[in-house]
Amino acid sequence: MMTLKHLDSKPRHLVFSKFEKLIAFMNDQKTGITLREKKNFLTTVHDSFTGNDFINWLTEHVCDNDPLEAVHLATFLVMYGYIFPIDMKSFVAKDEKSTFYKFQSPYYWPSKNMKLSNEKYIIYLLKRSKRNKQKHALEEYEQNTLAKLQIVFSDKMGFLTKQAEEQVRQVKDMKRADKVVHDLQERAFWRVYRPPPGQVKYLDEGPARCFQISQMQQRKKKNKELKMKEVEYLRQAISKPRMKLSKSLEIMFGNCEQYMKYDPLLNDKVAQPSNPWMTEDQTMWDINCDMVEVPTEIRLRKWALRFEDLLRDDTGRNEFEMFLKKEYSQENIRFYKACRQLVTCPTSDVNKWKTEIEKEFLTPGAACEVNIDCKTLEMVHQQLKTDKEVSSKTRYIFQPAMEHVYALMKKDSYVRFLRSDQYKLLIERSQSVFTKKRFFNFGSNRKKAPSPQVQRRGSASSDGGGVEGELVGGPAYHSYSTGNLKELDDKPKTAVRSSNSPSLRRRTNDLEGKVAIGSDPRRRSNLEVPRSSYTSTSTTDAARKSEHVAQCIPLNVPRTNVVTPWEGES
Amino acid sequence: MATEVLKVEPQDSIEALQREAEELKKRLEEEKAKLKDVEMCKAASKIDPITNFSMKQRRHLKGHQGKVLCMDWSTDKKHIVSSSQDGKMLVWDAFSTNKEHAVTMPTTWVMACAYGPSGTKVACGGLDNKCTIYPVSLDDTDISSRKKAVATHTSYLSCCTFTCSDHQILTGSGDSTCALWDVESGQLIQSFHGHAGDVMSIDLSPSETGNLFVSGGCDRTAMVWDMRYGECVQVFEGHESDINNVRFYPSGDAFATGSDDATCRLFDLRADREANCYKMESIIFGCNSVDFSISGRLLFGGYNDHTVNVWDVLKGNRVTKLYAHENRVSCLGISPDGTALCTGSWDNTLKIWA
Repeated sequence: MMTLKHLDSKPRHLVFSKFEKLIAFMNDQKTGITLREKKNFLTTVHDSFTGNDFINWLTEHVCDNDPLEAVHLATFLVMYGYIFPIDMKSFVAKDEKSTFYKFQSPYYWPSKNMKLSNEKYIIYLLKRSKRNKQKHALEEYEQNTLAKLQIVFSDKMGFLTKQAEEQVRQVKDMKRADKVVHDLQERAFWRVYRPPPGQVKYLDEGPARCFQISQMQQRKKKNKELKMKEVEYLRQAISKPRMKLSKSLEIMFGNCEQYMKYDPLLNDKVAQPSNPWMTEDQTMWDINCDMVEVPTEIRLRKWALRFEDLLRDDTGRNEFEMFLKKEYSQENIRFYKACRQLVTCPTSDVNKWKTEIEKEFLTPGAACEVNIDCKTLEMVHQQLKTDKEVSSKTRYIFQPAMEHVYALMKKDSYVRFLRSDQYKLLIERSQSVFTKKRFFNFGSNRKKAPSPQVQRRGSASSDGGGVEGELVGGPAYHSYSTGNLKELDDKPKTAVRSSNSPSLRRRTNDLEGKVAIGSDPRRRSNLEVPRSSYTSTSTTDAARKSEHVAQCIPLNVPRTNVVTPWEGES
Repeated sequence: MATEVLKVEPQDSIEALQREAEELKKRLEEEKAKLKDVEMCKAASKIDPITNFSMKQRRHLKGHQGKVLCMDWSTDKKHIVSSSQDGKMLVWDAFSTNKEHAVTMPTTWVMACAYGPSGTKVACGGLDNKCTIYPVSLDDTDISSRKKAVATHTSYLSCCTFTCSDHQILTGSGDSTCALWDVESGQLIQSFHGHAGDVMSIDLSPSETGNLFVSGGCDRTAMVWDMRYGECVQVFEGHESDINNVRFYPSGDAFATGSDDATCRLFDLRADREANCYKMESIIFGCNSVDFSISGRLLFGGYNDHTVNVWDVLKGNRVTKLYAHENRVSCLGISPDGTALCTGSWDNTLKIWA
């Protein structure tokens, strides 16, 4: 076990070994840095290099021709004590010909000096104070520290002073050139470990980790409980289905491409009217409360990306519930919400929720009975019978039924919701509210700046089950602005500001009825219901053209029509 | 060690288990290797590169007297909670840069803090081994009088996050476990054992029906857990040093890690393997914190060399580098609507970028 213990004494962070490799590289005879001589008044410091060479070398060899990054890295080499400035002043890397630097002796590297005692420091300070005042005088902060340490170590001062005197004698015996280098190295070393006040301590560490490296290796090898868990996991993992990486990435790329158009950091037109952090205008947040009467078009179109995006949005979930109500299948979403509630409610409420869900949704003949296949239902009832005491499993007792209902909503109701008049009306309403008023300056130059939606195209959702594709309207639909502040000013007040927490009772249908109000029928011509599958091969081109085409590109529903970016041209 | 072979071992002896594990591991590696049919960077070569991405500092939040260790956004997109080494937890209105609440914890190194989804609760903890929950509301000036200790571990609390409600909190600890707690009663709902070393970070799956979370720790391993049964369902190895942070990809099908080995990696859940590794020769320092932009195209990493590196997740190249702070970047997070990035640092400040 000696070898393992040895691991613990080594510095935990790989950064030291990496730096040491870099230093070796810099010292390379052929490719290393050019070493020069720095002539001082009476002495010469050999094997030093200028700041200019230092930065240039790093720029060329490590930093991919980015001088800014080279200066940054060079500063760290200095601050970590691998390289020091000969003038003992420029403790930042300076890209200058007049500043000289030198490699620190490996003896002083931080990896070899993880723990330093104050005794060592006081000996060093005493030593300097005993030497030539002109050359070795202590700086003010060092004097202060020395005074403080002398009090702390008052009982040991005799011993410590002797040590210092001994070291002074040793230094005196050295050759002149060696002495200069030695003094510099030592001083640079302490400058790094006991930096002047106010300077960032680069070598600061966080609190110690609980498990030492040797302990972790021991546990991995010898801990029976962990080993059994590992074996159990591995047995299951062997037979688990996996996707080919290429296939998985294809889905991810498609997904990403779709969502990039809604990413404010990549597409500043998504933040409508403007990103509040950039413009100090909070309108974007006001019109995008959790619960709003008229959602912005961007938000509405996001609902069509994935079922999750609809459900995660409070307003979206509400609209969807209203849609289901009209379709007489409201119990599905209510059951789903109740099951989510059961999973995350306080432990004291678990039983209450369990019985309520059972009574309301799963008892034969109940008013809100959900339609589940008898196999799943049987399974749930079986579990209900055996579940006497509340355990962590109780929370997931309806899981099979919930998943069934979820899949049903996603495959069926969700698709129909996106094709429904209700959804269409919402978009039209949004267009009329936000476009007509020319609230956002975006409206005036809309031809030059097409909205993100226009360029969208079909792509796979992560689970393949959502509606893949989009609605593409005419050239004018994508203005979100309105010039009239008055109407918008009312909105934040009427909107219910609520959280993402799935508290059901709060989400009453307070918006019901308001939405169905018809909007300007003239605008309807621009919007079509997506029906047939998407057949275009060169999607990007088609999508670009569609900006000027006032007809709709149909929605692709089946997941087979994934067109990945690299397949587009072929 | 030679005596080991001679002994007659029972079926479940540690040696027998060890051998079985090694055997299974080998087979599993072979299985997984078959599915690696493409390099991510190559697969992404035809995707348009990210051009003219830029980010500026928009806010500078000063107020902590010690190193900022953790931060979390409120769902209202404006508020931030942050915790620091000197034992303070601050609740900010990041937009106006006002501090709305300040709590002094009876400990130093408050390494974890989290905002509840309702925006009315915050949780934090650190070297006190506990997770304490405070209510936040503007009418309440002294929130520390209404605190509630919920979780207790046997070592420091390294991370915490509320589940989809204010009623449950998931914690990770230096004692190598993660645990799910009932906030109201303070009872343990489920614990998660499997890491061999300190757990440093956890993240909940964003998928609606997932019940999954991922954890990463000093044993260089990231594990995906099923919260229902307390079972580890996937294990990911590959890092050469401590994993400091884990974060789910927005779709929930992958996650990113930031590690002391100076790399960030992307692990694909469906393919059950590492998909990409984000590194450069000039990046020597460890990465403390990672987060995705809301589309998942950009990965932000906060590093020990005081910078934030922004990676193109798909193509694997670095998009830009922000010289963000004057000390280590310890934590970062994208705001819920994706409009801004917040970074926290050992230089005692937080910054908002957009």
